[in-house]
Amino acid sequence: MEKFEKLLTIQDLCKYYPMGKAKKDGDKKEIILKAVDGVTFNIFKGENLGVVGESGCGKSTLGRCLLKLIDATDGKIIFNGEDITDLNSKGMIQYRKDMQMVFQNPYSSFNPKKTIGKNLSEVAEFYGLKSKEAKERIQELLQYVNMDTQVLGRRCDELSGGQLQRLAVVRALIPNPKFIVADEPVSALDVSVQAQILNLLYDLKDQFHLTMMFISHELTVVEHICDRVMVMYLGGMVEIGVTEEIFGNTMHPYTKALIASKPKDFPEEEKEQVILEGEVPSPTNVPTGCRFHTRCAECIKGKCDVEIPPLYKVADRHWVVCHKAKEAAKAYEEARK
Amino acid sequence: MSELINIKNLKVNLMSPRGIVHAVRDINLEIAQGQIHGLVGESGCGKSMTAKSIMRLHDEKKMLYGGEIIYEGNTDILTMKEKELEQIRGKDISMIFQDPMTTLNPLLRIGKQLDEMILQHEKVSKAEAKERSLKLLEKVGIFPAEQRYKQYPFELSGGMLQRVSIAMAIACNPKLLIADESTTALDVTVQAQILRLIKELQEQNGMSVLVITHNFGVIAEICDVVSVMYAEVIVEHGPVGEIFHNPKHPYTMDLIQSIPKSGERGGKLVTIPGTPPDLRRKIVGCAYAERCKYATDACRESAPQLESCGENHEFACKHKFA
Amino acid sequence: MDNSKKEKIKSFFTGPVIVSAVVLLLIILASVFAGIIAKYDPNEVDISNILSGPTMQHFLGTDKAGRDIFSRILFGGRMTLLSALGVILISVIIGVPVGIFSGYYGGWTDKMLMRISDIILAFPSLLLAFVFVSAFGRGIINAVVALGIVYVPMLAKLTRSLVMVEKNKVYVEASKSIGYSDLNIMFKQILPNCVSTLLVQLTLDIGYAILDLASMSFLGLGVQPPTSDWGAMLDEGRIVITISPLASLAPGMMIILTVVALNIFGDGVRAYLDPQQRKLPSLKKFKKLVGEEM
Repeated sequence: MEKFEKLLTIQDLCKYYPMGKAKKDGDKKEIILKAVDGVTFNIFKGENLGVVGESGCGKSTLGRCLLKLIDATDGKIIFNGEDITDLNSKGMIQYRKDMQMVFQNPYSSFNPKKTIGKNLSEVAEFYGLKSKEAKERIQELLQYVNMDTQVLGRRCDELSGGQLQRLAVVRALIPNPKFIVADEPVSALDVSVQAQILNLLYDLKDQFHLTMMFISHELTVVEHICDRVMVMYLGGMVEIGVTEEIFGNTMHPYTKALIASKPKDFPEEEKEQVILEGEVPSPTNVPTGCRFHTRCAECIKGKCDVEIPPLYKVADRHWVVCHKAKEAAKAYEEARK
Repeated sequence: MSELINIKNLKVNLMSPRGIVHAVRDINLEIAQGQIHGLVGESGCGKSMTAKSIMRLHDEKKMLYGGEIIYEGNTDILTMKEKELEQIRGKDISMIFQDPMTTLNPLLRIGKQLDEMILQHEKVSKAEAKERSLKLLEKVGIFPAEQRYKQYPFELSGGMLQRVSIAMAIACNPKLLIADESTTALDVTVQAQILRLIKELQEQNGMSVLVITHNFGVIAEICDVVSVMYAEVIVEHGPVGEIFHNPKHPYTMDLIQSIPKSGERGGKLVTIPGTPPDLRRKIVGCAYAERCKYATDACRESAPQLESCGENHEFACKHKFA
Repeated sequence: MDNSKKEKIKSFFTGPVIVSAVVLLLIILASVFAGIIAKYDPNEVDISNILSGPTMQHFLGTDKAGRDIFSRILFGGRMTLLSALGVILISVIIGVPVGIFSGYYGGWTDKMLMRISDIILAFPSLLLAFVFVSAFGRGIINAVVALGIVYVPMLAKLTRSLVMVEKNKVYVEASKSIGYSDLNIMFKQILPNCVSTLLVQLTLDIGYAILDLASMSFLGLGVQPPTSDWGAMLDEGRIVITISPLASLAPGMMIILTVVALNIFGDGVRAYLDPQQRKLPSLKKFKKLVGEEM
C-alpha cells in the first residue's frame, strides 16, 4: 500500500480512569472506567478520518490521547514514525506544532481576558515567529477564513460562535501543522453557521496538506466531509472503513442501528426500522465478549457474550469487529450478484 | 373551532439591566387539534419563549406580555388568574423539557412524583393514583414498572428519565403537550426511541403536540405542520412536505440547503453569511435582510407580513419565488 | 461599541460608590501629604498644654502628653494604611501562588497545601498573630508579617477555587494543546481571569487588616510609642476618655470611616464585575420603555 502513507499508528490504545473503590458482592473492588479500551488503527497522510459514536463512547478521549493532552494508560501512539507514547510535556514540544486541535465550544476556546489578536500572536510567538512574521501569518490566515483584521482588537465575548470557531481554526493553522483533531467543531453552533465551518474544514485538507481526525456524533456531517469513518461503541472500535463502504455496505449491527436512528432528511423518506432498545451500558462495567451483545438483535448466545470478536476484513479498507461478519459479508456478496 | 391554541400578536419583552430584550417580537400561531406542530429555529430565535408563554412560565415580575393566547376558542391565557392557570397547567397543557436530570425532583421517588401529579389535578384515592402511575410507566416503556416506581431519579439513565417526564406530562391526558428541545440532550439511538414514543402517544391520545427544536431531522421525523422562526418572528408556516420541498422564504430555503444530507459526499454546502441579530436591537424591515441574498431596499424599509400561498402555507417575504 | 463601554463605566459610579471613593481618596491624600498638612510634629511633647480640647491652634485638641491629635491622626493614618497594605502584600505574595499551584495541580500538592492552611485557619486569626508577635518580639514589622501570614490561607483558598473553575475551561485545554508550559498556563493564562475577583476580596481584606492592626496596636503589640497609629491612639485615649473623649473618638471614627468606605467600594466593584447583581429598571420605567418602542 504505497499509496497510503501512515501518519499515525495507534496500537491497542487504552485509557482507564480509576473511580475509587466500591463494595460489590461482599468484597471491595476497584472500579475502573474504561473510556478507551484497546483501539488499534492507522491514520493515513492527507485523509480525513471521521470518528462517530454516542456520548461516552470514548471518541473525545481518544482524540485527546492522540495529542497527548491525556496520557494513555496502555498502548502505543506512533506519529510520523516516532513513538510519542511516553514523551513528557518537554519532549512533546517539538511535536506540538505538528498536531493541533479545534474544540467543541468556541465560546470558551480563547482566553477571555485577552483580545483575540493577543491570543493569536502569543501562539505565533510561542512557535518561534518574530512579531512581524506573526502578524503577517495571522493576517494571511484571517484572509483565508474570510475575516476582517478588525476582530483582532475584540475580546471573545464580543464575537459570535461562528466567528470564534473560524478563529479557532486560524489558531490551529498558525504553526502549519500536519495533523488536526477537530472535536465536534460544529455541534455548539447555530444551524445557519454550521455550513460555513464545515466548508472551511473540508477545504483545509487540500489547501494546507493536512490530515484530520473529525470527531462527531452526527452521521450526516461525517458522511459529508470524511474519507474514512471509524465507529466507536463503549470505548472500543466496532467498524472502520472508507465512507462509501461504511454507509453503503454496513456490516456491524451497531453501525446499522446508528444509521437507522438518524433522523430523516425529508419527511416522506421511508427507512429501515432498526431502532435499538435500551441504552449504552456504563463504561465502568463493560459487557464480556462483544461489548455490543447486550443490545444486539443478532446476538448469538454462548458466543457473542463470551468470546471477544476478531477484527474481520470485509473488503479492501473496510474492517469490522463482529462474530457474524463473515456470514454477513458473504450474504452481501451474493445479494450483489 | 378546530384550533386548540390561537396565538395572536404575541410579544414578550424581558427586562434587563441594559434595556429591553425582545424575546418574542410578534407571533401569530395556530395549533390545531390532534396535530404534531413543529416550531423550528436557531437558538435565541424565541421559540422556547413562545412555548413558555403558552404556559405562562416566565417570571412575570421581570417581563411584559403583549397580544393574546386564546385557549379553546374562548379564554385568553395571558389574562387568566393564577388559580385558573393552575387548573390548566399540567392538566390540559403540559411540557417536557430539555434536561430530564433537572426537571425531576432528585429527592423524591419517581413513583411519588407521578402520584402527586395525578392527585394534584384529579380527585382520586392514593391507591388509584398508584395504579395509574404504574400503567403510565408501562405505557412509556419503563419495565418493570413496579420496581422503577420505587427508584430515585439518579438511578435511571437520561433516556429513562425523559420517559418518566413524558409519563408525568401525559398523566392527566393533556390536550396539548409541549416538547421543548426534549431530545436534544439525548444520543441518536435514544432520540429515535423517544420520538417514536411521542408519535405513538399522540396517535393513541389524539392530543396536540408542539415540538420545539433546532433540528430539521426531528421535524422531518414526526411533525405534520411546521412554523419556522427567525429573529423572534415566524417567517414561514406550512405542512411539513411543503416546507421541505417547496419552501418560500429565503431563510427556510437557505437553511434546508445548508444542512448536509445522507448520501452526499463532499462538495460545498450552501452557507448563510453573518449571524442572527441581537435581541436588544429594534429591527426595522425584514429581519433576515442583512443575511439574505435577495434583499432589496424595500426589504430594509418595512417588515413583510405573512401571506398565504397555497393551502395552509404562509410566508413573510416581499419576494415571490415560484 | 464605545457607547456601551461608556454606559458600563457609568453604571459603576452609583451614589454610595462615589461617596466612598471620595472619602477613601481624601484619607489617602491626607496620609500621603501628612507632612505638609500637619502644623505640628506628631511626636512633639508639650507638657504645658495637655488634654486641651479643640482650640484654634489644635483643632482636635491635644492628648495626655500635649501632642496635637490632628497631626497624629494624619501621621497615624499613614502608618495604618501602609501597614495594612503590607499585610495584604505579604498575603498576596504567598497566598496567590499557593492557591494557584494547589488548584491547578490538585492531588498531593493540593492536599498538603490545604492541610497546612486548615491548621492555620483552625486558630482564631488574632490569637495566632499574638503568638507570633510574642515569639519574635513586638513592633510593627513583626505585627504586619504575622497578620500577613495569618491572611494567607483565606486568600489561597479563594484563589484555589477560582483556579479550579478556570482550569476546566476550554481555553486552558487549548493552551495545553499549543504546548504552553504549566507555569505559563497558570500565571499568564489563568491568573488574569481570577484577578478581578481577587481584587474585590483584597479591598475588603484591607478593611479587615486595618481593624486587626488596630486591635494589635491597641493591645500594645503593634507600633511602639511614640509612633502614632490609629489603634495605638485609641489605647492612649482610653485612659482619658472621660476628660477628653476626642483623644480616642477621633482615631476610632477614622477607623470606622475607612473600613466602611472600603467595604462599600469593594461591594461596588463586585457589583460592577458581576452583571447578575446589577439593578433592573423599575416596572414602571420598563412599561414606559416598551410603550415607546411599540
